[in-house]
Amino acid sequence: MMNATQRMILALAISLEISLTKSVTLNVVLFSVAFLLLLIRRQPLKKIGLYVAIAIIPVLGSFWSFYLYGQGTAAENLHFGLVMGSRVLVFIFIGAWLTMGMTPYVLLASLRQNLKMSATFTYGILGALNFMPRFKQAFSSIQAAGMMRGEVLRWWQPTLYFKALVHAIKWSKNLAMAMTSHGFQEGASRSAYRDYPMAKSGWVLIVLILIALQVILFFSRY
Amino acid sequence: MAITARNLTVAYRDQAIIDDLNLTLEKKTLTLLMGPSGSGKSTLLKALAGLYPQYGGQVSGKIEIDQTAIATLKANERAKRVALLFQNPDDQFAMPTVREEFIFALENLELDKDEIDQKTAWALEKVGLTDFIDRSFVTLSGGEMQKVALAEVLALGADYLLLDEPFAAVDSQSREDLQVLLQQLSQEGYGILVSDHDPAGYFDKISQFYQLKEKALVLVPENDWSQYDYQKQTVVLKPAAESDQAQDTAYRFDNLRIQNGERLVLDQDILQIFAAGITLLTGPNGVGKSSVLKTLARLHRYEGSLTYQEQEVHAWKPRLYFGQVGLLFQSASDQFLNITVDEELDQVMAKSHHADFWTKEILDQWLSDLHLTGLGDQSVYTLSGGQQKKLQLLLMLIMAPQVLFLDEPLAGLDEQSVAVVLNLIQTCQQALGLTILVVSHQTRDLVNIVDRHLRYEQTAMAYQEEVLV
Amino acid sequence: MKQKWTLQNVILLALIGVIFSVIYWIMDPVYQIVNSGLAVIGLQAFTNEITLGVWMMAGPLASYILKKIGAGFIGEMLGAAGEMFLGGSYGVGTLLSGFIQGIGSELGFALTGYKNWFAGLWLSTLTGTVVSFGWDLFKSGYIHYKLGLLVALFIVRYLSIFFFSGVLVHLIAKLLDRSKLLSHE
Repeated sequence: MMNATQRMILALAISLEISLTKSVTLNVVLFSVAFLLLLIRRQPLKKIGLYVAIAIIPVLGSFWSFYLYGQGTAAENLHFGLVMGSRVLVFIFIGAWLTMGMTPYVLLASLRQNLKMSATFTYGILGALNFMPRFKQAFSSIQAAGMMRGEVLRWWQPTLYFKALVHAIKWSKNLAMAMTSHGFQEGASRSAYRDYPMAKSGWVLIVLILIALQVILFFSRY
Repeated sequence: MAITARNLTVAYRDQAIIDDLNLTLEKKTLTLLMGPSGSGKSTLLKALAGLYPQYGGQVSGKIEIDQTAIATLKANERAKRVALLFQNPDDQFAMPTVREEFIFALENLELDKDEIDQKTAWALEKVGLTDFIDRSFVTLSGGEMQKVALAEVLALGADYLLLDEPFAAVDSQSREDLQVLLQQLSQEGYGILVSDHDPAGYFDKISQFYQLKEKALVLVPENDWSQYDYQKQTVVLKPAAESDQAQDTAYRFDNLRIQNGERLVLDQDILQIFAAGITLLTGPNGVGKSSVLKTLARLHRYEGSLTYQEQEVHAWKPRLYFGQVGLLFQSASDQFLNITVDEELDQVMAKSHHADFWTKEILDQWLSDLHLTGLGDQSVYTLSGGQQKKLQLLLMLIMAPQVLFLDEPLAGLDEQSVAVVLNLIQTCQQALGLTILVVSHQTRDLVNIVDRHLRYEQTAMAYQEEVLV
Repeated sequence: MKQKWTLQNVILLALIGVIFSVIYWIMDPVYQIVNSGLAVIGLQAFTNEITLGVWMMAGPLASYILKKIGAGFIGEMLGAAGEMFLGGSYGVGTLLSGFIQGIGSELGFALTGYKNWFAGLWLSTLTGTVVSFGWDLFKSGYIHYKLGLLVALFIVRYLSIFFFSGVLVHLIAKLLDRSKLLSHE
């Protein structure tokens, strides 16, 4: 019902809402719904397990630091610790729901069609994503190049970033030339092989969900 | 009907790369352009494809395509007429899969869905890769990527195809296939210009042959082609002098397997690389030489066993390993750490493993022999390709680690520089007893200074005394 | 200063985003380690402040290198989006933080009318601190803290952002400038 753009809007609205409210109840409801959706959509259990694993430390960390070291009474600290811990949980699982079955390609193409993002940005960003794995290699060869010369490049030194940028500049030029040579012209009109329409039913759903959130908040006592 | 260049000059940072050049490239022809790397072939092709001045070159003179000045055409108009295939197949695709790439390119021409599907299918069939439509590029070999790139420009409808060293990362079988395909396409009516540093396999297929010399084109008459189409000669290395003594082993391979993407490039049972001396590693393009060098330099994964000084390479602590082992990267800029030439030289002079050998006087002498004097506070990134290569090699030889791997150390050097560089390598090796393994296609130049020769065919390497030059 | 975004500019901007999305993602566990270390001495409230500068590097660097309106905001958003897709510890919350931090950094350059990029960089460390701190007053409940602690948190945050998103970014850009890699544009 919702396309990628609508899902992103909803995810942002939810995260804004829970960032500015302190309801453990709402957070638990949102987490449960997102978790169930992952199960219903048959996401591999291994992947869900990975999200749980990612969540454990920051959730406990957020909880403990507010529970143990908060400035209020013990009850207030417990409440605030639970709010902060469950908030991280919601962030991670709403993030998982958002990225579930959605590639950066679909998201960017939808944003382009739905929100009139420029083609230069859409395809420039998409092209850049292909280099993600190559940065890993580049990073090891930069460090090796340093060590071969008796230097250890530390992460707080500018050289490491500068050398990564040298790669980035070279790649951006090569790829931009190739894309230009394949007919990409900044600002020119293009055809669309696929459509990413935003359905009305999706908007209705978003509104209903947001109303439901307010209702839960209204009745939430913790 | 042709692409014509009249009095074309292209400069980069105010240095002319090609100067007052004239060229006519007609349809239904296949033209070979030869010239050493760094001679300006890429620059010429990019200019002909209309990529300058947008991408940095200063252009004067006139380039016309079927009587239309190329400068007046927008990219989406140009792509229907002329297309460029790039040297590095990895850098030319914007999308992760073949299908998405074709959709991207054909959307640029505002085609509708049916036309896009139909042109994609037609073009892929033409290069014999119909089944590849849903493949992702990371699973393709260099040869397959270049075929897809060729199909992509055919789908765009270009009549003139410019190929910039398209076979640099392509194995020999794919090279032959692609050469035949280019010949067929030219007979069908396409005008094709392909640049290459290796003339093998062209002379029964081409209609024109140019050499790029001193920033301009020289047409080679057909009668003279045979001079370039030399049969490779065999040189037999003189048996190494120390062969009767016990030779120390630097590296030991035991059931070593190396993958490049999804392809197994090396499956080596037992092999040693001997300490001290210069070993030349040769093999067809795309066989996996660079992957082997990267593996030896601890920059590529492997399975099985590879030991340096009896210790597994991946078990070495990086700092200790790279204190003994260096790699001359294929791309010079990957080697640089600082900004100016002086900063780079000062750094290696301070950190050299053989500071006693590298006195200021010796350094100055080599700088002058290499024509690198007076560049002191220039940024290393603004040097010419040849200067960068020479500086890069000098830096690593001043560092002088016990083991040095050289990946194409002669690329982009003129003849006179090649002689100096060979002398430099040999001098350092002999004075400091270094272990050097060099990968290069310029075997004719190197054969005089190497002690051993490793031949790499298919997925294994073996020592040979004969070297093809 | 050319205001039009070329394809090459955008790809470079996105690559900066990609580099920092990986750095941000690596920072997630670093944050937890720093946090547990500081918790032992009761200073865990400062974890966020000490590390935040790293999380805000993409924006100022993008602005300072590309010298274009919006580069800082988009660069920071891309870094955050990449962190989310990689599976960062704050999921979709990262996008929101990226949004706020991006606006904070961009503001500094905007205040100079996009004319003085050097001054813009230092201003952006200040605006980035103010905007992100304002957001945390509500989001992270800082508003409940006592004034003394708030002042201390603000100062530490400013120092972190000043070092990573100011000094370090400036040094990186200076290297790039001296290399003349982008000078022909």
